[in-house]
Amino acid sequence: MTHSSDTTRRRRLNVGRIWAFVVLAALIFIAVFPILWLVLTSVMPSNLIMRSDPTLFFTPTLEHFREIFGSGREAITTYLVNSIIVTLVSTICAVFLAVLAAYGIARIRPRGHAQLSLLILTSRMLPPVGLVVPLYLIASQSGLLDTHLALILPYIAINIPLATWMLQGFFMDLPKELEEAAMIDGCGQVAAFFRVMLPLAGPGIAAVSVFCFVLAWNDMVLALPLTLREAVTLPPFMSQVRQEEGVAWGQLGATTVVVMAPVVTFTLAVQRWIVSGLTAGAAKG
Amino acid sequence: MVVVLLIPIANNAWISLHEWSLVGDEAPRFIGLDNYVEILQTPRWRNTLLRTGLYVVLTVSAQVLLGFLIALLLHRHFPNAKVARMLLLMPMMISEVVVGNIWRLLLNFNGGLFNWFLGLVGIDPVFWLGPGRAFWSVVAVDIWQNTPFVTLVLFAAMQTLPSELLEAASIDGARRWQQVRSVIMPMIQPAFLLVLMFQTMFAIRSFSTIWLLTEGGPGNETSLLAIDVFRAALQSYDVGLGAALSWCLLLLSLGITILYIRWLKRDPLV
Repeated sequence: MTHSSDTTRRRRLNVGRIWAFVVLAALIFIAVFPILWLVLTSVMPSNLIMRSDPTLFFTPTLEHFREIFGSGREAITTYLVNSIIVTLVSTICAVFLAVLAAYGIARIRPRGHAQLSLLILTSRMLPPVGLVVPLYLIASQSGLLDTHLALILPYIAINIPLATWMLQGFFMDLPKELEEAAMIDGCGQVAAFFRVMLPLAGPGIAAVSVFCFVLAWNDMVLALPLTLREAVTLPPFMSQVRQEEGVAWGQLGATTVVVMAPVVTFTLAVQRWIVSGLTAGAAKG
Repeated sequence: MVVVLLIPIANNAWISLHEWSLVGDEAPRFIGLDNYVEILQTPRWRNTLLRTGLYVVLTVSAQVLLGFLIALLLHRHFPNAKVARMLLLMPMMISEVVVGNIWRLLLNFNGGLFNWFLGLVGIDPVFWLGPGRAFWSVVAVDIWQNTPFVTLVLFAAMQTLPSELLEAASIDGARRWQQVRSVIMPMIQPAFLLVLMFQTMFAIRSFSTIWLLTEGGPGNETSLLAIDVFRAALQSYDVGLGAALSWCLLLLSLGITILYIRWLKRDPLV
């Protein structure tokens, strides 16, 4: 009696487990397939793209990547270079300034630094769309419109708050004694910071840099109004492709892969530290 | 550094009180709150507000519900399946512009995979981004992209629950659904509120994906607040109205943030 009810329960459990597998597999398919399809499109021969009888089996080709990196009309080199310049410069500046600010806050702990972090967080919560109109007017009046600087400056300003907030958590985690030991051994305050504290905060700084990089690299909200021709980065470029007659899907797919690849790579590389960074900032803010 | 952000935002408020057109030679004219009155009275802009509200309610509730169910599935059956979890989180890792292009490929009328699939089951192709459907399509895409974040946060919260608690509940004869409702859900309430706030904030400001898919069209069917800031300020050159629209967006976001901070302070558990 007990035995038979045990087996039915086990059988029911197994059935439940099979269902769970089926559902999980379906969910993974839904999550991953669209991305996979994009990557496939980027290496699909042109005559097979957007056909009424799509196929998964074809000889992959790099023709679209050759086209977008070539010198022809469909080259994206200008926009790619713009994206790289704007992203790198703004990330380096934002992280440098944020390291200084965060170290200061973590060490000196000025009065009201708790409120300060709250303010920082609140300002990061505000949508960048709120900056579009004033920045557009400022940029066109000052002649900065359609220059790299028009994007670099707002990206720095937007990134500094969150970067500072995350970094101060990392710095607070580092024992003060290490720095004091270095100073006893003859390091000045500045040397102690650069030679001891900065290397120790390395993972944190890497994670924060990725955050800043991703924001600037992906941004379309500011890049769309603040650039016209010369300084156009990849996201606004992609939004213009649609208005032309007959989108070249292979090239669009390849461009999108170029935009996606560094973000996914970097995010996966520092994933661990991003989570710990956010929680560290939260716990000790 | 906060100043760098706050000055343009304050400037934005000042601009929003003017009739300010970038075409013609007319100087900006101070008109007080007229732009805001216009937003509330003109059906065109009032519909944008309502549409944004509907969009936020639909996407956030679907994301939180689905995200919770998926987190529960992972928690119960696959707590250690790291690879599966990473694959499920993929849509969250790619940016809005990439999402926009991915779905342009899939939803395209000629040769998009969705219409090919409809063809397989004998249904005529459909304009997924055409009149009457575009709004639902962009809602679905938003849900696709943002549900993984909810799953991530709620799954992490479930993992921190002591397993003795659930064992005790099941010894006491609680059925699964009862365990979920009376043990898991109350325990992860802080995480629930966190994702609720985050998802709402990000749903309100939705821009890039929709811009790539429809640019707010057809007509105004997918024009949300952020989209109309662009349309008013940069396509119709009415910067006063654009600034006023973006202030509506700012005020909504600020309101939600304040609500959340007040709730954080009230509840010592967090």
